[in-house]
Amino acid sequence: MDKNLGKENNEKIYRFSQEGKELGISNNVLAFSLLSAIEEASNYFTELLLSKCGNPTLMRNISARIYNERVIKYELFLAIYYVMQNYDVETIIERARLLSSKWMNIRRGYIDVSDEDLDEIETYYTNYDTMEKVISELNKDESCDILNTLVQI
Amino acid sequence: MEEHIRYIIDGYTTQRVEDIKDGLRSHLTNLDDNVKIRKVGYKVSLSFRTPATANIMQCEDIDELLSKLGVMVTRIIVSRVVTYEFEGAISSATGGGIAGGTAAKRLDVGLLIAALSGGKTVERGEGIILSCKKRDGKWIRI
Repeated sequence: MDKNLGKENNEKIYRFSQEGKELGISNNVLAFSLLSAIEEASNYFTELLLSKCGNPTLMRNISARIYNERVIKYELFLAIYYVMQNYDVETIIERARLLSSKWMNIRRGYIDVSDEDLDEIETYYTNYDTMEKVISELNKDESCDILNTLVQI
Repeated sequence: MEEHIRYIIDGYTTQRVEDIKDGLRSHLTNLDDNVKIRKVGYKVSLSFRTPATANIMQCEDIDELLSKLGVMVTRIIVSRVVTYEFEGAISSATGGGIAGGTAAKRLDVGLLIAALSGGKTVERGEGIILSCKKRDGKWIRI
């Protein structure tokens, strides 16, 4: 997958959700599109890491495993976010698990999305630029280390 | 720091998770407690590790073993891993914290890896040794 396409996709989906808000589209549909934007963002981060690492075996295995697993995309996105907040490791794991399973339920349409839920998802998404920046600053070894761990989830 | 070889196996099964786990342990005597099996519907993912000094099983061997346990294997990844205790952020670059994500600092990769691998005992991947998938009944390296 072209990594710029992933970036473009998530920004388009996010814009769609913003316009949808003004059109009075229901929270469930808006949450669905915001979560899709987060999935695309997470794919894009993975692509960034893959291009820095440059290991073809990792690339094939990551694309086969991660791109099919929505919950891993959420957990990766949230883990990066919480690491940036400098939480301790236990808190990161607990929060990432709780919220990613809530998002899975929203994505499946099991939960009626409240305004607060929607704001929460949006708040996470709006940190996308900062997250992109810190990921693009990583070096080759760091990128490979993260991917080697990710492939085992 | 301890070294291991981790096997990650995807496939399908109609068997119970407990039965697969017991079967694995009786066939492979060098496994530690770290055996993870996740089953959703008929789809199953298994993950276990052997000591770094043990022989590396080939895809055909793993397939043969798991078919005895009633698992139809589709993909196998074998990696070298190291485990260590996570001591928390030491580098000064990570101190201070970021309020509301307004300022970007360097990402604490050690902390991220600890969080992704599930806790204070970190298992960091050191590289894939072997990976293969089944196509038309034959194992091919990917």
